[in-house]
Amino acid sequence: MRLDALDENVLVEERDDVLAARAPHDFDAFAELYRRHLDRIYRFVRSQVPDDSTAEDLTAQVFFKALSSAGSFRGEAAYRSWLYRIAHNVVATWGRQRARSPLVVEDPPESEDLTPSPATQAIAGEQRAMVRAKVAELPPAQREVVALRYLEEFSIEEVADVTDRSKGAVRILLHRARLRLRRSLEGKELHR
Amino acid sequence: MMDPIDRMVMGGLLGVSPRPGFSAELLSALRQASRSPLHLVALDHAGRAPWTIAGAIAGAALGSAGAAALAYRRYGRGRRA
Repeated sequence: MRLDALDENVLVEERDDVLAARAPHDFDAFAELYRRHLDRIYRFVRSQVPDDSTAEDLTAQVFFKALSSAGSFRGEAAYRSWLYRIAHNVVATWGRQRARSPLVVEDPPESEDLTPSPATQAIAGEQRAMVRAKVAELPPAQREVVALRYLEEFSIEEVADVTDRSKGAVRILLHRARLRLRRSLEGKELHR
Repeated sequence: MMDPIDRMVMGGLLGVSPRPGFSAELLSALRQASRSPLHLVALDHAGRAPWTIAGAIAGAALGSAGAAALAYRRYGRGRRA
């Protein structure tokens, strides 16, 4: 058992690309990557779909695909970019299948790390829900670039790579999204 | 210094987490799928609809690094609570 513990410590310290190279034949390496990226991928997917259960389904698909195609990761891009490309494709496929129904935003259950008073927490929670609702109202392409920029702080080039768009197209989408969000959110302070 | 609107959007998007238990359930399903060329994994979300992921990994197991395909199927959407 001591060896297992040692292995786990070694994995925790490894870089993503090293783990990704081991992942096709070492589930523990894949599991470490999963632990590192699950929350982020879930947040991204959740920002693109209307409810938690769909977000769980699609997140599961992302990681099953990452597992089954682990051998195809070549290390040409960062592992997280590779994973987000899978997520982009999964969400796009879901979107096509779902046709063009409007999003109905369901307030997600949150495990938040707020320490202020319950009243302040309630206000802050409402504001976050309001922001998510405004993001959900964006057209899908704008919504996606906003999520990638704000959640992962991806560069324009990375967003372009993940979404298979030109850098110019990403800049335009982001600009339009920010304008729209600014119009709808300005004047509404963020309570922290 | 970050634009207040950017800060609001970031705060809104970051304030979301998977429900407790989801991570462990999915990891368990992934582990099982990795052990078998064809495995049917049933996950029962506490307080949610049961759902099933059918993970059919074509070729041998992951060790072969061969072509792999997965099929996912969701059913039993009726929520319990």
